[in-house]
Amino acid sequence: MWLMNALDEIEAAVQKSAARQQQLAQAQAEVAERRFTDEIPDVVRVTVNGTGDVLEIELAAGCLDTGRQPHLLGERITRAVGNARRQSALAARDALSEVLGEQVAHWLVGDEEPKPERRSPRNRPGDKGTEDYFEDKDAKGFLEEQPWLP
Amino acid sequence: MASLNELEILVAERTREFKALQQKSADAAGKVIGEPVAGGTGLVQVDITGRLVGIEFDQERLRSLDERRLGRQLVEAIRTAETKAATVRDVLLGEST
Repeated sequence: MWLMNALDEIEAAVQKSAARQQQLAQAQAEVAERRFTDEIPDVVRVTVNGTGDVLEIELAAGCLDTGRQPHLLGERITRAVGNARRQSALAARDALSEVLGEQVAHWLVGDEEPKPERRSPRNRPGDKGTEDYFEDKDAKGFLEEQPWLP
Repeated sequence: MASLNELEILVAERTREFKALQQKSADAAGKVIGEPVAGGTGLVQVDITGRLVGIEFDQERLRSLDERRLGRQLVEAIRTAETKAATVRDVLLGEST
């Protein structure tokens, strides 16, 4: 009987995992189809897709003219690309959050590392590592002493 | 069952490998891949993750360019640079495993 229950639970877990994978693939596909833009007025407009690929860089007419500070053009385009990609990454993170949970999505997209696991009662700040623990211990003669014997 | 000595050796080996990987990663992080914009009007620079870090233009040539055409050329140069960055990243970090 317990075996049947265990098999049912395993099957349910497999089905849940498959459904989640499908949701994840769908969310990724939807984000990939989206378009994100950043614009510096009268200079440049950058469009990227949901995976951060640069699709289009539109330079404003006349932006190469001497009076329009063309020496800053490279820096401005770089900034616009970075901003558009940031929007795309945030949207991807939000979409993943809905499927995987916020913490995993943050970790996958890279904006934030996963929060440390909650400390167990055996892993308090005052606990020593193995090396520290044995540092002040003198194990010499321990076996000879046989403290467990009366 | 492994002796303490064997465990110490194992830990030392893993620590060495980890430090080597960290070093490779740090070296790779500083690398910049440049890709010329068609026509030699500029240079697109990406880091090893494919992030665009800068674009330099030849200011003399820039004045005579068409904005639409330059935009398309920049997209092409960025894509090519990203592909190269991915190759470099695979070579540099792939070797360590």
